[in-house]
Amino acid sequence: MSDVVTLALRTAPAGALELAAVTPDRLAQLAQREIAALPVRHGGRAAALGDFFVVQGERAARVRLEGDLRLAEGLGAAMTGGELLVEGHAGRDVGVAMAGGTIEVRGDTGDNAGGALPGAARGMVGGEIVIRGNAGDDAGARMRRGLVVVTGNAGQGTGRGMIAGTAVVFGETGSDAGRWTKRGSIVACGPVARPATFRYACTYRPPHVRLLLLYLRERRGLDVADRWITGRYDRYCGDLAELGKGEMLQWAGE
Amino acid sequence: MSKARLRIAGGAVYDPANGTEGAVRDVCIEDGRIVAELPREAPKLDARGMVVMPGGVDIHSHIAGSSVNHGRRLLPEEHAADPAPAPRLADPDATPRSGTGGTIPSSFTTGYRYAGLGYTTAMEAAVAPLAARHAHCELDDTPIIDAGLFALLGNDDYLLRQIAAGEAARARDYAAWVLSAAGGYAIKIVNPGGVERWKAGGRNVTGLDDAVGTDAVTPRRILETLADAANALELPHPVHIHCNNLGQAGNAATTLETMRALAGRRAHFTHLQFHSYGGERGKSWKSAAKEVIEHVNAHPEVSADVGQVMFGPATTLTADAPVEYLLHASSGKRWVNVDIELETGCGIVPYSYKEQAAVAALQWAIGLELFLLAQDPWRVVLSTDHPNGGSFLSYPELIRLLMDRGYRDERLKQVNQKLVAGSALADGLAREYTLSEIAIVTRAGPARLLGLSDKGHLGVGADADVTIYANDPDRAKMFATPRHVIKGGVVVVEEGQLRRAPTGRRLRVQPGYDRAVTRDLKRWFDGHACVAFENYPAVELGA
Repeated sequence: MSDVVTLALRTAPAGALELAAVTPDRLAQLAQREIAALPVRHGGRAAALGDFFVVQGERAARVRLEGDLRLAEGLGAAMTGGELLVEGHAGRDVGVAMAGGTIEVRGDTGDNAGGALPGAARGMVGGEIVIRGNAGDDAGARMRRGLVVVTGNAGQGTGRGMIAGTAVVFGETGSDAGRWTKRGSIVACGPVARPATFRYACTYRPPHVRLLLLYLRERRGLDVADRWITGRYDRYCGDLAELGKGEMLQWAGE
Repeated sequence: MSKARLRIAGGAVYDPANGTEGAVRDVCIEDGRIVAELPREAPKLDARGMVVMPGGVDIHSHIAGSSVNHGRRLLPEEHAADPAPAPRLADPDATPRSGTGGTIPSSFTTGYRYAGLGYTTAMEAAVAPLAARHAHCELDDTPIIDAGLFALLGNDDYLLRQIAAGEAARARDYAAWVLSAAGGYAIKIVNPGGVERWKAGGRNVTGLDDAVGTDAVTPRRILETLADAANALELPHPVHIHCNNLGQAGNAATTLETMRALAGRRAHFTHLQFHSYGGERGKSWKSAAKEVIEHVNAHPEVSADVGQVMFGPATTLTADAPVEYLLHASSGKRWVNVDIELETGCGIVPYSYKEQAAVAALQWAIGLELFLLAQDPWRVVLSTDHPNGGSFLSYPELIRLLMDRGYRDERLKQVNQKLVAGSALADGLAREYTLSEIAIVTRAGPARLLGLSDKGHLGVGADADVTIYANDPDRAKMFATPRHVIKGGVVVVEEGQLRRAPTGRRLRVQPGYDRAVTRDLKRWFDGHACVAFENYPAVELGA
């Protein structure tokens, strides 16, 4: 038993390294040797976690990953609890279909962070993902519940097909954000390419955004500007091509 | 290990086609064929204490083509749940491929898993001729196994026109041309007339004498025309028939009527379990396995595969689109309707057979009744209609059910009893299949029914497709994990590990036909088809 399990990248992968087995809830049950033996796939071939990582610690629901993990896919996929900290960039499918716990990435992520598996009706159903960097496309796609925060820019399709839940982007939000959203909130502190099927409702100072941003500053230690916390937001309802009960809140000044 | 020579030494050989039932002898292989003897210094594979059989032959399976691929697209969650890493092959220059499993594995995984199960030949049982090119491309990417495909006929406009006009000879020439053009191995009939009528906006047919467009065309006429064509063309496998009314309570009457309609003609009735239901549509269900199998037993020109239902996930996938539409409507499960623009139809519904569901339990019991009441294992062979009744990976479990009465009775107690009570199975069927009978229903029988004279046996000159099992009293375990599998003389599975993945052969026929039919066909293509006549064949046609 230790406080934290640390996985330090020892051998850089040559191709996609699928790490869906690495979730804090699973590692909390395993001894060091068992963690090293967890199955992963490298370029479609079966391998073990220990082939790529030096494992320190065991039986802890706090997991820290070190190294350049841009080729690592599916970190924290479907995790139900615990903490996952990635000290650097991560690849696609971070926290895909996640159900609980927290993920923090201190770098950029690939596509589909907090998104859904191919063909799945719903993606993330709970938990929090904080990306201290840029996110690829489809962050929070098909989310049912939970929180995805991107401190940098987000690619296309952020919150695409959201059923409920919250996505926050401090930087720029790419096109097709919120397309086919049923419910849920997308908070855009920077510019956002909004689909035409979102309709303007009002401009106001939403109290829940203030609470949410204060939480991110105080509890998660993010650098949140005062003007976003106290500022006004344009509220747009959508996607009107769907249920239309979602909202996009775009910062509109102090 | 060299392909050239190998002596499989000291195993108990089960080669029912040559009358060998467990005799301990050597099996010698040279250049991909079984030979009588080898010099003493030839490489040896120690099979002492093991069971040696010919490689498995699957007479009816869905593994390639448009319908199968649409099924894969419909099942992304299965791919996430069952990733299939690339195997570690012995040859460093070979390129193993990763893939996905589930009820419809990806093409490479299909080849690897069939071989891993000791099967070396499989028939793709339903290919729309217009999409045959797709099926061939996928089979090219399905390693190890030799494969053929059955071309769908019986709901296609040109054939029905010939039947309406009473042109039996031209219908036969057309069937021969389509089979050649599709690169097919046999003629498959699915719900004759029913798919066409449903596609035209009407209702599915309910019996053999329903009119399809015109009174001159009925399911009965379609069946007779194609059965006669296949037999006149001397195809190695007769018409492969999926009867009308699949899956309906009371459909055993239709099945028996179909068998009687074709009396005296060779015909293969596929997934018989799905066609052996008593009771009344919309009202009651019961087993009619006994009536159906008694007819099969008494008529040597009739053969069948069982199409056993196994509990667990499945994907129902058939050219019988009206049936899939009904299943979708009654189960509320997602479906796709594809190939509807081709000469046939196709519907797909992911499904799961649950032990606690009364109808699923009955289907399971009916399949076992057919197996246990069949008198001639050479004519009633093993299939699950993969992936319709269950994956081919469930064959070992099915074999255990057939071989182990104690296990079977135990399982019977665990299923829903509502409809099973009163069936022959519940009354107690004592029969246990012997290893020799299993060898018949899984390799020798299907090979003989398919007319594959080089497969399903270990006589001199046969293809060197051999499976070697550890003689485990747990038959499910024994058949799930063969120790060694040899395909065409190449050891593909070694000590239970897939080590080599050679390319399989394509099995096809090229029956002769009167070229005059092509002139009329070209006119029909010019007037009605979406492709040019010249572009239709999926394979090069012989001169």
